[in-house]
Amino acid sequence: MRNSALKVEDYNSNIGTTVAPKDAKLSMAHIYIAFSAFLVGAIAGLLQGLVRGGMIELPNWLGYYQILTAHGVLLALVFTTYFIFAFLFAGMSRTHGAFSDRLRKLGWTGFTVLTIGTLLAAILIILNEASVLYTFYAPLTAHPLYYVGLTLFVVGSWISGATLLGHYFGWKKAHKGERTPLFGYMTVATIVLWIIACLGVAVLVLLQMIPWAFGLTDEINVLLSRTLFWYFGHPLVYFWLLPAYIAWYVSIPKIIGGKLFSDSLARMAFVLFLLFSIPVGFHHQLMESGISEMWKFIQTVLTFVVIVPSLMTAFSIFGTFEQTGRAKGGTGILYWLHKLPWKDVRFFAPFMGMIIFIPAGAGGIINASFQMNAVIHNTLWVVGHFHLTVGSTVLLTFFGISYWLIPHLTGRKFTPFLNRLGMVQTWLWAIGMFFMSGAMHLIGLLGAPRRTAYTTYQNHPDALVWFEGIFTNYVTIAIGGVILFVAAVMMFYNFIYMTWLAPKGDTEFPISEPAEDASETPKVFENWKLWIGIAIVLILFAYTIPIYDMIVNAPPGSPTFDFLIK
Amino acid sequence: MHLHRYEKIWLTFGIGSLVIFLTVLGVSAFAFGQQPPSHMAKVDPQNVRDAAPFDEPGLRQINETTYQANIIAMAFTYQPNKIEVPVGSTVRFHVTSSDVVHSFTIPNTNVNFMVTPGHINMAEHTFTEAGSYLVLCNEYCGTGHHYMQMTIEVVE
Amino acid sequence: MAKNNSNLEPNRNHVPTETNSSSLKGTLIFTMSIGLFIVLSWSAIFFLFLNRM
Repeated sequence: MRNSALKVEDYNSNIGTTVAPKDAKLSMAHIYIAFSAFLVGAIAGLLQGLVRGGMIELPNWLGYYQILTAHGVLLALVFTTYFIFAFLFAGMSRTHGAFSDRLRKLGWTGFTVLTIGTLLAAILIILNEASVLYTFYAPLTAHPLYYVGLTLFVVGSWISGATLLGHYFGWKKAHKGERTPLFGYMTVATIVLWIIACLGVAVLVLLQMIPWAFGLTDEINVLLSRTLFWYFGHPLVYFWLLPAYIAWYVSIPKIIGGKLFSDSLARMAFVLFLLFSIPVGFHHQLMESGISEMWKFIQTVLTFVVIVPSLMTAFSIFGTFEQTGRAKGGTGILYWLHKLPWKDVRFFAPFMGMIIFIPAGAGGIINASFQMNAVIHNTLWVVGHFHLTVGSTVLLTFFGISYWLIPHLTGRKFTPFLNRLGMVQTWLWAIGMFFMSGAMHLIGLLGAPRRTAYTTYQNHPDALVWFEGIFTNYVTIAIGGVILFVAAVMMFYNFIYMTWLAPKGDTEFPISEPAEDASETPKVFENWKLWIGIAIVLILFAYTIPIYDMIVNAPPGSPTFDFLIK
Repeated sequence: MHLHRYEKIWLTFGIGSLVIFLTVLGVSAFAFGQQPPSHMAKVDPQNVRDAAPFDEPGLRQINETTYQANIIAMAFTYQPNKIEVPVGSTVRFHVTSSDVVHSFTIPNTNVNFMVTPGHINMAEHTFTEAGSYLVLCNEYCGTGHHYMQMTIEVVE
Repeated sequence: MAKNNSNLEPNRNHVPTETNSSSLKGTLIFTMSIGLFIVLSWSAIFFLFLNRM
């Protein structure tokens, strides 16, 4: 896997500049699965776009909701999770030194369990036994083994997470009193967030859905199941976003030849994400009965708090750009922008992701706005929204990471050819997304539902307008989808190229030097017990009373409905 | 920890905007009653037709201009699947599900709420223009989800 | 580590950390325009909501 130029002795002596070869192997194992899932998920996405536009019909053996489930699971869960662990394993090895053999073994165990879960779920989706979409809302019922697959997926991710935590706290123990490297700090925030979030889905699947799907219990408390899902579902999106932020804070400053703007502000942003991204799940349930207006509003307020660290990030990252541009001789109010490396895809792809995060974030604020949610709830607007957040901001950043992470791990060179491919890929992705997501947002405002196969609702005029607009048209979505698919195939080729075809050599894993103010970062940031404690208090505050009410005052439950999905 | 002066300006503006948004939403919800649909009434989802009001699904007139529509959502239709009201009527929709999760959504209005089994949800709308209004389900409910619809005829 | 392409080489020059106001003017303009965009788009949907009451 690794270029022979890097000798075994480098393993320990070169801590802090490369990923240890054995760790690189673990990281690459994740990358293979991530990009395989990415390709299949992208094909499913293309088919959906064409079906909804009324341009093609699927063969009898392939259902629309089956490929919709595959698309969501493969891209939103499998690609993201595998890529995130690839990035975090490699980054922790790069910044905290090689993993011990014992910990690495644990990392491989996590990978194995994760993969068994993924395969089990994939088989059931292929068999059309699990067309419940990636949210698997009860009382629609998938094959019981599908839930077992999801459980293994979560357990695997916990084992991998424990590996990363073990490495960080091992480092901390060996370097008493030292400030931990920013990469490790952010990794811990991300993993702790993930573990706390997954408690909700663990309770949901283990205590509610598995006994019910296997027939051990007759009924399920639907509202409780949805609440547990969204307790998990919102921090899930931050689990996607935070690794992208890690790259923005830790790697991008190095790539543009600068230094992070502020260490303490970066750490504070991550603490705020940990505290406020969990007790906010009700903003996905604003339109449903059984939860009182007051609790919905309380969680709406908490949702708005979690916007603040993203506002801080906007300033920190752009401030880093400006300071770097000026240090390189840039002048004027904005003329220094010319000093940024616009032709370097390692900068440009994540930068495009940052720019797209502006409409994505604005849309998110609208979505969370309490009664205003009625305008967009479950319409195509929402689909447009998360294709900007996770589908563009996060993915373009992950692509940007790939251009140095994969060649670094495989001992190959980041070549000008690859850079050109990457630039074209980034532009195609952004243009495709402009058409697809733009049209989705607007058709959503006209009432077009999400997660719905081709239909004109018996040629009802309110539905026909979705097929008649110049831009607000399902065909626009399909065109955007085709462009995105071309970009996805290109990205898959880039992965192949970086893994097996690029010339052998070295590519740097960029990690920025600590910010100038790093020495002044308050010690309290390292006090994880404190932050986890506050996070738990906030969760208990936001959820205890409504969940108690859901259990004590529950209506009779619902039986399984597995026949509706076949 | 040190905040740059410009960052203070930015965060003040940003957080200030968020506070204003929340105030506008909170006042219009709690003082003027524009609440998100959060009805607390419950029902036995396996026997929704056993008790009022869903033993007789349909439209009921409450006063001169106000109606109550009791509607059962099910895979993959609504019962009844057509109602007719005069223009200017205010209709109170009471909807529950006899099977899985659905929605009750009228495009181009603010009527767009979830229908979860075991619960009754409701919203109110005044139809000021005549015409045929589409109602659709925008929560995936199974293989026939995209056929699930009804119409509201608003007549002169 | 060795570099393959000088265009892509990170600049290792020292970055001055003076934080006088002039050096972050562009950042202020950029973030404030984000804020303006957020306020405008939120207001647009809020008025759509009121319109549809």
